[in-house]
Amino acid sequence: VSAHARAEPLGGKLLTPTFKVLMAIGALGVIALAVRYTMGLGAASAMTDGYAWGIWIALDVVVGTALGCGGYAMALIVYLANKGEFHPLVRPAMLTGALGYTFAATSILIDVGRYWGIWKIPTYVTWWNFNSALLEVALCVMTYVFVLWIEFSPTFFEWAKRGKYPGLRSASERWSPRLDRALPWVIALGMLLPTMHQSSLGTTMMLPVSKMHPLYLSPLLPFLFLVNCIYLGYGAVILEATASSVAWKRPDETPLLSRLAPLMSWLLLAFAAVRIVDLVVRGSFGAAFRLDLSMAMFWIETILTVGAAALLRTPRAGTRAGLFATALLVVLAGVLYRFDTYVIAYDPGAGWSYFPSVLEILITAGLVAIEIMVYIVLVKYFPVLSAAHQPERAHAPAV
Amino acid sequence: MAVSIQHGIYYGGILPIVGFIGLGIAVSRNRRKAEKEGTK
Repeated sequence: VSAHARAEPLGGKLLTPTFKVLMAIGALGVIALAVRYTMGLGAASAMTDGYAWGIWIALDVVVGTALGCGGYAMALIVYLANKGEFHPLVRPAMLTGALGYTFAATSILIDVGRYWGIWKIPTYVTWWNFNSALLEVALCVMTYVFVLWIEFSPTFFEWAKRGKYPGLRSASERWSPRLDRALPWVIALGMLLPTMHQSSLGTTMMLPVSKMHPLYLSPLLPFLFLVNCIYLGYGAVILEATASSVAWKRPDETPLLSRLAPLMSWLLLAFAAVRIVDLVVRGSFGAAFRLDLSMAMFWIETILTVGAAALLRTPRAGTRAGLFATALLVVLAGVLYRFDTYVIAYDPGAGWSYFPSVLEILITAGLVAIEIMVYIVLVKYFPVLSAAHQPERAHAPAV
Repeated sequence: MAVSIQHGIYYGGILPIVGFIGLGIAVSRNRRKAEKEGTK
């Protein structure tokens, strides 16, 4: 992030009531984690041989990474389409991306049975199966976590340069220009990797052909998952920016954020149109009129997607409350599509059922709480949010 | 079916390499342009 979007630490008290509540939820999650690692997956989760994945994959990884695509979506606009006016949104988007992907990678370590062997994925190169969508997802997500933190690292360099530690200051002055020279290629990698693994998350659900509901099984799943992660990323950026401006009484960023609305609207319409035309062309659209849960979810998602696209074109999308509410609809529509594809539309056969256990829910809630806590710590102590929007430090509210 | 779509993960890795180089050149060029215009 460059000089014209100079960022400053938010400052203010850290241990606020909100932070304490998050700490309590995080602590419950850590206790649940201790049970998972001492008693095993069977004791901690509701997963079975039929349902080999649950909310740790469907929510934490499949949805979590898409919500973390704000950094990817903003990079496409700022660095590829060269729309520099959106630059102030990049750094917070990179932070939510880095946190979202770190959270997803952590969840994979919790979800897999033999987590201690995960280091073999990037190192046992001769064992790689180039026809495995999951290998690609694993390699890309692992690499992208590092790429996101490198993309966010100018924040730490800036902090060190202004700080009181001479050692850190001289190290950052030495390394910062080197990073600056490498950054275009790091950004390029940061655009390539989500394009690959987000589409492959769609490919993964093309594999259990006989177990998928016809409304959700499509050869276009990779394309649909890719488009879905981009509009989810923009939705997450709007929610994060609006929430931070309300919570910390920062000036309104709606004039800038609302300029994303037309693009989001087109993406949503393209997603809905491609999905329905694909079903009609392949003769699967009849399933949209057979009464079952997947059918209901399909219509809820379609109505939310088209409704949000229409609302983004109204003057209400130019107001803070209207844009926030519409971004919530966008995120809800996108999240439901991903969750339904992985859980609701997947039917392993008679006799199998899945509903997350209390420990699964506690671990997911705990991880989300910890993620929000890390976000709060970083924006309060490091230059993340744009300085142009800072309130007087003395008047910063205690959130 | 899935395998036929993403042949050996994008043609055995060739497409990602070409994509990476293309994106890197585009980002570098845009960055120089933004520096000149003062919008970086």
